[in-house]
Amino acid sequence: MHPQMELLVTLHDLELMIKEATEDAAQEKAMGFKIDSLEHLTKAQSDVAKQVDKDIFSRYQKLKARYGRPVVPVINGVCCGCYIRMPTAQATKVGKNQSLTACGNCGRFLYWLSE
Amino acid sequence: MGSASVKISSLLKAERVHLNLKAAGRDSVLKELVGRTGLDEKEQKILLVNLKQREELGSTGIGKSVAIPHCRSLLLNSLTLIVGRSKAGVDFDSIDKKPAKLFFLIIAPPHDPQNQYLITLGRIAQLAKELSPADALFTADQPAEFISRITELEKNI
Repeated sequence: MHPQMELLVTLHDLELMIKEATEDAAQEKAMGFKIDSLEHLTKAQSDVAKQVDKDIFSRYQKLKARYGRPVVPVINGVCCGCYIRMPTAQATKVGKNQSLTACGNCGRFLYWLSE
Repeated sequence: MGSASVKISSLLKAERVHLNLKAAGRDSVLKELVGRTGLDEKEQKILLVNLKQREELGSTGIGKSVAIPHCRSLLLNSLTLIVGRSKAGVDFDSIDKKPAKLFFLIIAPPHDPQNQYLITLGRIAQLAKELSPADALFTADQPAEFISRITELEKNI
């Protein structure tokens, strides 16, 4: 996996955790889970963000502001952000996560899931 | 979709039930469970980081010897449940301060329109509350036996 993609996936998942720990905290507490301070999560988010290349992070932020989710999986050759099918050349390329790729239609960063 | 339609037993396959975990600590249990997801090494590393962050937010050890580590991740495209059991028990900073023996690892993709993730979490938490220390889930020798007991317990929740 491309090192920058590794950081973007980590950042995406951490941000999702922060969002849900805020929005779903009451539900999780009712189930019996502990939800303490979010402080360490926001620190981890900030630490990961600092490691992302400046230009890539800037694009990530713009995509997040526009779509909410700046990184999306590709499943069966389809971008799960805009549901456009990827061109055959891109979809059949070996080692797709070894480079940082974006959807030609919506611009979101793509994470290619194993099929 | 109602909660009754999400069956824990339907998410479990024998190859996802590991009844003799070797790990003896929280992080090593998480690592051992993540190692069963089928993800590659780098993906496992990312998932492990997030699961540890979730535990820092508050232990998922909900008592009755059960822990339910969970998070969402881009790395999987469907709701994934892996079960592990440590006969000796592991300190998981559980709510009742007792060691956790049964671990239900739940990973959900971000895109989950029917919110199966929270529903499944709720069902497992509810099932855990019904368990007695002598329950067959703690003694079953074979994954099939374990899954069959889950099916039975699910009838009452």
